[in-house]
Amino acid sequence: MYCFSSLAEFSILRESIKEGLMKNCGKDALAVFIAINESVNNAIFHGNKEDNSKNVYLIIEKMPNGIKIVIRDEGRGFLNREIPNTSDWLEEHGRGFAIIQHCVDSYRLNKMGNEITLIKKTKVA
Amino acid sequence: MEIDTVINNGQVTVTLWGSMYVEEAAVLREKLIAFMESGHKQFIIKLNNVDYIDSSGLGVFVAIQKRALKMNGGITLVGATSLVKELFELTRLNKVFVMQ
Repeated sequence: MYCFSSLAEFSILRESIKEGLMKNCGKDALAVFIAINESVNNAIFHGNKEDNSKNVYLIIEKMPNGIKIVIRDEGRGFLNREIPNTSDWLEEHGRGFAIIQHCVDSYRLNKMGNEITLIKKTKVA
Repeated sequence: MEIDTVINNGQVTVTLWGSMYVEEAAVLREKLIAFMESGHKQFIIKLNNVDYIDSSGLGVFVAIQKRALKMNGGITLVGATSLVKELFELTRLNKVFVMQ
């Protein structure tokens, strides 16, 4: 499990997470990495609102037929957040979820909305 | 990420190398806004050597394009690699920029 409280801390871990995925997830590694990166950005900026006293937890688990990733923040939860209108191209934010959905086979939010679970079916070494 | 900028006949050519995450996107935004504040409105952004742009980076391009269009300018994106191109297509931003 990884634990970090700021973008600066995550940026130190980012490349080693990517390398680990490249080593173990073959052709799907990049898609998984992109989904993790977008989810972590959401957790830091929209979940914890860049409050460095709050942590983000990242768990990457091997499953029999793929990989499971859990990202949890200590914010108030997705339901309390304003969701940007992504149909408006002039909107600067709000594309992260579309990218996450594209990169994984499924995702689910917990009831509080501060934890996202991503599932990618892939061959894991 | 490395960022190089050259001005030629009032047009700003920006060449990028590497991956664009939130941190790099913020730096690029500052640089491009500074150019706009000094009156530049036409941007060529070379993406040939960019392997990844996250959604914050895409957002910076949108923000700059929005401002540039108001000034009758705009951004032309050149040489997007396969993944970067895919991200623009997925988010439908390929319809928002001139992509060469």
